[in-house]
Amino acid sequence: MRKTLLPALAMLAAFTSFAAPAAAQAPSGAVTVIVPFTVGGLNDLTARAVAEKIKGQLPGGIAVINRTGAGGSIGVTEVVQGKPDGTVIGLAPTPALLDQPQMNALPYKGPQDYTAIANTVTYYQLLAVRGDAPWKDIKELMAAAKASPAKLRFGTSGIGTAAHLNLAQLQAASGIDVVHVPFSGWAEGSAALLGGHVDTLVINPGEGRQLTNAGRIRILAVFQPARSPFYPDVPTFKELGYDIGVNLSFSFFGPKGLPAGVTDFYAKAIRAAVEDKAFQDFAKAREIEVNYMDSAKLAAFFDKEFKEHTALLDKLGLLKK
Amino acid sequence: MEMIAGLAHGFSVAALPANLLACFIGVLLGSLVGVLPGIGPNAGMALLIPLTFAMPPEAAIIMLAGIYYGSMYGGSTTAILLNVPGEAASVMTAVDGYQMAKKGRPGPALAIAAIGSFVAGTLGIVGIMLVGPGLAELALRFGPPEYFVLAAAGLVFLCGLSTNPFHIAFIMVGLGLAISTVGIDPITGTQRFTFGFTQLAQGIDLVPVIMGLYGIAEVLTMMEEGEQKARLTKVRFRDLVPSWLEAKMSFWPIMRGSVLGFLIGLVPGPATVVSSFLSYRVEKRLSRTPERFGHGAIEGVAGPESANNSATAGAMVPMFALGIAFSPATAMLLAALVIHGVQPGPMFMLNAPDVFWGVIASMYIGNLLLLVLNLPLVHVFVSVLKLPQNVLAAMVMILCLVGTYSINNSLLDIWIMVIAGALGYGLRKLKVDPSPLVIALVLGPMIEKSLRQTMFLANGEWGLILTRPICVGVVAALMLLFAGNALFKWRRRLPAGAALD
Repeated sequence: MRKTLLPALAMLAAFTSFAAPAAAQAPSGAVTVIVPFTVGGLNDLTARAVAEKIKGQLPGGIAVINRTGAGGSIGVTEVVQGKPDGTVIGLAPTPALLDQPQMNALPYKGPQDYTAIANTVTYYQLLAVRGDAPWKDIKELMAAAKASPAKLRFGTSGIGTAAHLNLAQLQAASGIDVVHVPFSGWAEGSAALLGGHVDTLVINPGEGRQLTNAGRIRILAVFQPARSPFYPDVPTFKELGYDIGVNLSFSFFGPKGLPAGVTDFYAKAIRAAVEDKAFQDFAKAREIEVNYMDSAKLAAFFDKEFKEHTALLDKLGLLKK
Repeated sequence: MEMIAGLAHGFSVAALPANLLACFIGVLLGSLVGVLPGIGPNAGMALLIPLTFAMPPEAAIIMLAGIYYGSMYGGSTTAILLNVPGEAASVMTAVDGYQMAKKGRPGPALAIAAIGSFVAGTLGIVGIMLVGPGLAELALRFGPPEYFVLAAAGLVFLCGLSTNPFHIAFIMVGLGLAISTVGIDPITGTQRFTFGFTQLAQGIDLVPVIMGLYGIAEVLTMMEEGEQKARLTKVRFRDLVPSWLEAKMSFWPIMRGSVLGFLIGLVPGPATVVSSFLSYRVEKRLSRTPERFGHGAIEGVAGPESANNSATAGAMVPMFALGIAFSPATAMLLAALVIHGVQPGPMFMLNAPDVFWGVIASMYIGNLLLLVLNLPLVHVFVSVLKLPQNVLAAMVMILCLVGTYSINNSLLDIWIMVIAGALGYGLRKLKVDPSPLVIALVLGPMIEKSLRQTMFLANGEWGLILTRPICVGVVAALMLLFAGNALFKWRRRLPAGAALD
């Protein structure tokens, strides 16, 4: 019974997708979504939420696989080297897609080596200090940094990360001279901030919420063009006159040369998934914004961001020789 | 008083049938991933997190925590019976545990490992409740300079464990440190020593190296020697329970291991591994008969097995008190909490008392379940030794391969394990102890990263380390220890010709 039903269902599914107005075409066979970061992280949860939503449209099934390591470049490489038939796609943040290939010799050099499918979420980072820090607001902190050059310690999540690019932009725009201390992520950085080993830390939204509520840390400013709806009282650096801020976006992508029909199919399915209420709630809980971009828009976004990051990384001497 | 009320509430949560079941499944799976070589708590939890999405938060966290501490029970089983550590944290258990098995005492070794784990696990939970919040604040005082000094001192102290001559140990440490640098630079994020292989950028993981050096090398030796060294034909009850003397000899090692493990758990890094090495070293140092170590001393099983268990409790202190993860396993628990809408942080205990106290209470229950589960299993596990050698060897080989692959879904890890296996076999032939290599591989990344962060903090001034009281204290303690050691040796040599040993 099941044996006869399955192909029939598959045909039906294929038929309905053909019947859709555009030439969207679901890939045939089991689909693997490669996530280059660990289980339970934002990257992983976003991928799983979308996969759960679109699995009904994929008769061959869909599985999320975590291939971690090397700042995400291991997982991205696996997607890039996959067969361009839609059975292997990935979800990765901009640093893994755009910055890693500029800093390291990788099998992919930039957006020309993969197909942009669709963007899911975008967020900007925040600048945090200890709850009992002497600076009341960002102006006082900037004044203190100017008054005593090379004295204040600013922590980030590592050299070449978005946090570092944000800090470097801030230094260049404001002329402050601070000591940069790179950590490997929130856990290490937050412990150092709370313990007083650094004076400030560049953090991701969501991460610091509990410590903020408990009064252990304060958010002084956001690296964002406009105020964050989650921190309406926190000023942007733009308000201080510094037009800076690197965004982090999580985008679906596939191997180079993915058929337009398949890209289209995924883009539509992903759009429906991220516009779903459950996904919107998930994003809100993580203090990030749903920011759908279709394939063409995302490709243009990649190109623009890639060039901007090239300039930033070049200034920091981080471009691969 | 508040604590007793909280705990009582916790037990009422943990005792709900669904949560009891979650706890049981968790510790059972934990024991299983512990017994299976290669696959460890991190891989086990990563595989199961997606399955917990549909559970209520308490049940999910109870189950995942069960896998974490449960795995520390199981790791000793293959170490003792087959000389193949089930976890990185059981490397030291294999040294004396396997010798005990060879001498016909595998049962007592397994039983003491389970009892030690139970005592340490239970004391660890008491520690989380009583001194957790205070200790978490204390742990924050440790910054990169302190971590650097601690890790470097640890490397020097632990290498005294090795039975190698000094120059050999030195080479092994160098090799371990060198291997630890392959992959991604922890500070700049750039790739190094990958020789053009993108795959190598993921780095050389500890688990495949250990599975190769100990697991594969042991299988090769087994096949070569043909005859079975630790084979039992009949399992008698008398051979399963520890004797009164064995129990007495294990008491203080278990206590010391519990405290040591809990404290090491508060330091970021692979605390379960470091604490088991440290406990072994301490027991050997304190023993009046250190020459028994390496030949089946039960203290060498009791101490490390207790330490690695209480280290899991120690690692949960910063997680519960501040919402900060110091190890990959606690990071996984934190991620699970967030997935279930529970925000860990300084207000965790107040905001989510059901989860906090429920998990704490479930850990008492879980440890008891593990003891009840593991003691009768001693009989089953010991029966494994009845299997013929060739069957055992093939089984271990397959388990190592599958377990190692499961960590990162990476074929490279399999290759690393195979190469490490060949290296381990070669080292055995040369009678070289690989433990300094393992210690260097564990501590190397921590030493490198914290040293470089210290240099960032200090703007390149080495003097900063000397201005930090904790650093000076650790260095002074190490110096005193060495001075004491030298004095001790000198005094032993004094009565020339007197047969002291």
